[in-house]
Amino acid sequence: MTYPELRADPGSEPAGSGQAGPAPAGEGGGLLRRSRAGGDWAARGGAAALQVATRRSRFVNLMKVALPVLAVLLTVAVLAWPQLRRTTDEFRLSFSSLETDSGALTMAKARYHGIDDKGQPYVVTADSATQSLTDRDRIDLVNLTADITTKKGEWFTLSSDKGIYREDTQRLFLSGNIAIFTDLGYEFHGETADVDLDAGTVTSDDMVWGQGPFGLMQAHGLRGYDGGDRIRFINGVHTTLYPGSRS
Amino acid sequence: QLGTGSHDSSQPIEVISDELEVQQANNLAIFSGNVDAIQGEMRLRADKLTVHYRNNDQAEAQAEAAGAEAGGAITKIVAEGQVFVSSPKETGQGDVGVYDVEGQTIVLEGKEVVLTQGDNVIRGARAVMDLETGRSVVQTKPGGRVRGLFIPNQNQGQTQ
Repeated sequence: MTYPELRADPGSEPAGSGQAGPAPAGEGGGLLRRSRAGGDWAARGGAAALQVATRRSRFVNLMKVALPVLAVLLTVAVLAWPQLRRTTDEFRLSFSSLETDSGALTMAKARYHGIDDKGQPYVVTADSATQSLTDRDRIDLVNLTADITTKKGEWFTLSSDKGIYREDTQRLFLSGNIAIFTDLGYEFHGETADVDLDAGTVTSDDMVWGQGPFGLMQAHGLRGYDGGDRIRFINGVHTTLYPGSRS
Repeated sequence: QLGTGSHDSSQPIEVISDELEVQQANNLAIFSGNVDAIQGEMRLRADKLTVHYRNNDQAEAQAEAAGAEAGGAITKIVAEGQVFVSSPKETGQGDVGVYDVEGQTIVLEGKEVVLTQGDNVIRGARAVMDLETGRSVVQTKPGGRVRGLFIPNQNQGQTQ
């Protein structure tokens, strides 16, 4: 799954918006000068002058239509331009406030709706999302929660105190009170996790504990694959299985 | 214990292992590497232990179907590789061990299955340990002639 592009498009002032300048001077201007010169064109050989005049007026009529249409087209192009450049990931970002201080762009109550490249919808909310303007690919998230649906229609939520999302590598480094809940009744906790969003893997070499329908478990490391469908606990595991009551 | 009376197979099982792989979709928990599992006074060691269980939805559905209280989450445990089962009175060794939690039996199979009780040692290809009655049966070949029979002590268990 790929996180959406967070950057607004500062520099995308669409080209060509400045060219919708005044209608070309050209022909129309010339005709006006002659009539101001005191109407002498009628005396000079009526038929020829008449022919020139009709050609002129046809041109003027044409321009009366063409120029407004051209103006409308240009305005539409200026408005539509950002949408045309939108990346493939459909992405909507909303946030409550935006401040920029010294070198970072901070959004409070950031909320991302997105669809990753496997077409899986996800929502990520964070109390704050800070993108440093010096390292544009890094976004620091505080108190983040992600609701993710996997290909098989299962979902899981993932939350942690802090998260560093790197857009260039599509990695999310989580730390502090990590909690993962899945709809199949699994719950896992840990202190650190490295999530590879593209590959759908989770890695941790710290204490991990949790429970599933089979019982409780605790280990010193974890490798999650296929979006959490397969999870390997490593470096020594202690599990308590509950066979449960015999019906 | 194993040999003299019923073993409560609904007790929790503590498992220590190098690794555990949980396959959510298949409802499997696979323990590998020096697996050491203890349930009450029974101990099971093996290279690999595969636990089959029902996830919450299946447990409820199964209960509704059976009209009974939700059955235990764990249905079966398969041990593979240097399988060793022991209780204070008896031990069993084989290549593969299948612990039917609900049926309360352990079936050991292998090139040479060895069952010991005190000084008695019986070898065969297959041993069936009934945890409820404490009876163990060793067969020369799966389904073959019985080579030996452990019966709980007369004064404690029912006589056969």
